[in-house]
Amino acid sequence: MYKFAFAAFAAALTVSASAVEINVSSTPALPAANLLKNGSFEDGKTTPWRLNGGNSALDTENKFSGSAAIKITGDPAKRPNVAQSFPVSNIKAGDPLYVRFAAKNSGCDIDKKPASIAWQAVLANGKRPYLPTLSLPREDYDWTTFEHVIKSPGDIKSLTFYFCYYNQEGSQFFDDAVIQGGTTDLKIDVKGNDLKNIKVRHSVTGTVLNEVIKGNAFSKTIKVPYFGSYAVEVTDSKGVRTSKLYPENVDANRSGENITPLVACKRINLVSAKPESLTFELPAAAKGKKVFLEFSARCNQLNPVAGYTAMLKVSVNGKVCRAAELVKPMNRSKTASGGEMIFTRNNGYVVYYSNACYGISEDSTYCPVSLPDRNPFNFKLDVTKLVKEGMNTLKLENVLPPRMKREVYVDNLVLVTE
Amino acid sequence: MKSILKLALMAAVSATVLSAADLPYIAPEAVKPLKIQSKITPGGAVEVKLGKSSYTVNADFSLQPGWAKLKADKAEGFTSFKVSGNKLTAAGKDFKLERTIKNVAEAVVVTDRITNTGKEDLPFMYRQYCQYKTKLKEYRLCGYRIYGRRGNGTSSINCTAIMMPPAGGSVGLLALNDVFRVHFRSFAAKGLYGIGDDNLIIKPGVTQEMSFAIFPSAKSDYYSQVNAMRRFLGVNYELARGFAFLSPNPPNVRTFTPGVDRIGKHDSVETIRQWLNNKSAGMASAGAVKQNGELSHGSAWVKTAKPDIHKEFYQKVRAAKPDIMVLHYYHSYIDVKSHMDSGFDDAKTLKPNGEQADYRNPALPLFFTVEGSKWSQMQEGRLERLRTEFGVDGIFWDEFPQSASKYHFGEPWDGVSGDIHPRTHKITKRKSSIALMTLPWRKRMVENFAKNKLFLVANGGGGHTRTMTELFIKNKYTAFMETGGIANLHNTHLFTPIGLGDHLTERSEVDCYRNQVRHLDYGSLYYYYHQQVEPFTRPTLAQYMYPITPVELHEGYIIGKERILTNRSGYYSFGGNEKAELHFFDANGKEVKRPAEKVVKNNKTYYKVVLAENESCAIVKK
Repeated sequence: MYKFAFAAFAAALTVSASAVEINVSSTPALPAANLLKNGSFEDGKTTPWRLNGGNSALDTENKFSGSAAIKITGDPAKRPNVAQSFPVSNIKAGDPLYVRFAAKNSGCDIDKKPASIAWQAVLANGKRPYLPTLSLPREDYDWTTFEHVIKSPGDIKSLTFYFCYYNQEGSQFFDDAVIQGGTTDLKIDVKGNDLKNIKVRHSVTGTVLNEVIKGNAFSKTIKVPYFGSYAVEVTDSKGVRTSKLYPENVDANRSGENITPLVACKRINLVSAKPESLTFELPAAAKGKKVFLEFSARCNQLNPVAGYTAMLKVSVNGKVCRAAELVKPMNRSKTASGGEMIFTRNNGYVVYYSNACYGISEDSTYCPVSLPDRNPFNFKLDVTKLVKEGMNTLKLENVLPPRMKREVYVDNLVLVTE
Repeated sequence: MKSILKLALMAAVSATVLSAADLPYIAPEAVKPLKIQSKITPGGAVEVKLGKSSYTVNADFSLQPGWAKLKADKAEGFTSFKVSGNKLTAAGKDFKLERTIKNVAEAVVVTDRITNTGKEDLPFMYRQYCQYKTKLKEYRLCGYRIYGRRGNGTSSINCTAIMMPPAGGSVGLLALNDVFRVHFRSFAAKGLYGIGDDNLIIKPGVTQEMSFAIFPSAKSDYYSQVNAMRRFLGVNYELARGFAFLSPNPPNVRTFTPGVDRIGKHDSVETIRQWLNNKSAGMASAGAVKQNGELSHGSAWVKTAKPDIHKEFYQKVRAAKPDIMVLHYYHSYIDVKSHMDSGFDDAKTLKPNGEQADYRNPALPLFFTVEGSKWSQMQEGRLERLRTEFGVDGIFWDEFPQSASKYHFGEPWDGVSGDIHPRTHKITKRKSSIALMTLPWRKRMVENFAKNKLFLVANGGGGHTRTMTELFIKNKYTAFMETGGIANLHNTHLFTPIGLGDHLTERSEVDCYRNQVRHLDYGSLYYYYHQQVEPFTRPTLAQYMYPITPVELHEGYIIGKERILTNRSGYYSFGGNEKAELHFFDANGKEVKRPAEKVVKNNKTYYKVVLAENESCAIVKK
């Protein structure tokens, strides 16, 4: 259990020193099974994937994790794909359906259609719709994780999932594919003294519960997506935030020596006009050291990088972080279109619109070419001058107007001391 | 402990400053006509040779469907075709083409005369390009360095494509005639790099002349190309004065600094004098002041302007600085809906859906000025009133070539513009270029200014058309670009190289100074922006910026006949043994004394300049 009081953190990340006790379970239990077989291509063979149209093979040199990935070699005259069909029993009409995979490309023709995924459902009513998908970058990119959630159009009997690389050049790689979906009943029981608030964050879709509570106990069962993990955060009358991640090892935030996760799960979804305020206690070990906030941020959408706007305001103890705090990305960068961009604006920091965080190819108009890693998503803020001993408050705001219906995904939000 | 700190600091400083031996020697280029060989190839393309470098500029002209092509070896898509020396004649379905080429000092000028021989309007997409199979060392579209393999540019001022092939040298393509410039598009795709016009329509029986220049160079940097183009265009003329906005504000009009109000009509002559000196302004432009009940635009201004306030204020300003040039804000495209007159329907700028275009705000509708309309008569009356009633020395013309709409989708038609379907190449919609259709009226206004000895400062650039460029050159009028995105300074490179301060980031006099230094990153000068930035406590680099007659622009510095302004370390020379005084400014824009060290090399006197980040130096010829 995480307690966002730094002293307890240093001692143990999984044992709370607070008096708050959080128990979480679900029916069916999480983690959910992967509906795809051999999704990580680690079985030493490609089955049950079907390698259609030639040009596909296991590759042990380029892999996202483990020992192998699938490689599709581009051919302008061919339409190769890698596909798998499987039965589905737990996904009903309106249920969420989730796909995640890692991908990489080198040497594609930027004037042709990029690699893609497709999924076709067989519904109980006999219809066979192709389901909406996200799109992949048109240019080269290194290993990047993409994920996508849709609402099922009906009761699904079976699915066929495709990795495609049609009429292209160069090489396309895929790895670690996961498909999950449906719902589960999440049961939360909390005991403590003078409880004030409970928030439950889903590691993919964002906050699923945010309630003011009273007294010394809380109990509730809620229907939630059957994939990812849930960070249950309880704040007591002293402002101490205690958190538990369920299941413990799924979509957990970064942690390690000198790294303190500020939320238990990997993601905070920032919605317009709903700022997130997080309290944390500065560790004694931070004294005399530099203190940094690190996270990745993007404005979520179906497409890869397509522009940017100033939309993320970060405040520490009431003071807005500006250019002076920005270590990464560098405040000024040239873009691949020859313009110059400034990451710190009056409205906050510039965030890119994208369905994933990755080093952007120079062939993309929006590539920040003067950033060493061409990655504008990774933020590092020097907040040494803004933090104080004891309790601190971090506020994150999506400053776009609500009518724009845009969410900022802040991933792996941690405090780092150096 | 102290000495350790000092050593560490010294090490840090030495790491960022070039040693004297590393400093580059910088002097203006001795310009001579180039030995260019040019010809029209058997396939109708233009081949340009300079030394060992050869550049072939191909052409595509849209057919319906497909393309007619001029290539090195063989032309395609023509019904007749003949090359004879420096002249090409060809014909295709419904058009006739005459191409001529002519060598000038540093370029080859290509002129294509295209005649519509059909009975209907001819959509004629026009493209000129070089082809490279290997990746270029660098290329620029409209001045912007494009890093990817695809790119587009649409600047009518920096209407260029500049390519630096891997073998060395460079070649630049510059659009010349008015129609080409207002429709201009530069492009890079699939190894083709060039310039074009995707909006050209030619009426039956009409001959449209399209011309462009090819600049071969042994040098492979962008600014060498820009400087050759500037010499060709003749835009290196004297820019005499600095600029600031100064309006007759009443008391208590706020600035960004709490407790500090804007300078205005209540201030003393001495206060105004000090303010003008601190901003080093030789020109001061007033505008309508909302707090005095004035509205800035159109017929609303006619009703609300308060000339007495302005005249009284100008008296003070002139008393403060007798040689000041007093200007007044003017805009020819906008009115204020709540206060405007009726009767301007024939001058409404229309969007493709037939609705009136506006200034991204329905309260500010857009109109265009063509000869004879009531709108144009009202606008001419405004200018006349500023001259005769307000007694200004000049006009500050905001958004001079066009406003928020580049095109008008209605009558009258400009006779040359339209949307062309990218696949069928048929006309999908006629439209009119605002810059082009308003050109005759604006030209007459500018000629009136010259006749009445009124100065003109234009926002948005004066060089959207060759016609207006030449009028500005003749009268030494100036134009600038706004710098909300500083890379917009690329659009100053082929005209008067001046950028306006950045209203988005400037909040103090130090911010303004640092933007003056940043403008030099683009070889550009600086005009001060709005009056919300206060206070100004001292003159800074702008004090030594004008007068300047540009000779060369470069990344980090500008060489003028009268002065060199730089933010880079180096040994600088005017090209001879000129005497000069050096003015150094620290990172906060404060003038600091540093020894003026000089060396003579190759019979040129060079002045040593060593600068750290945000520092600058003006080398002023004595």
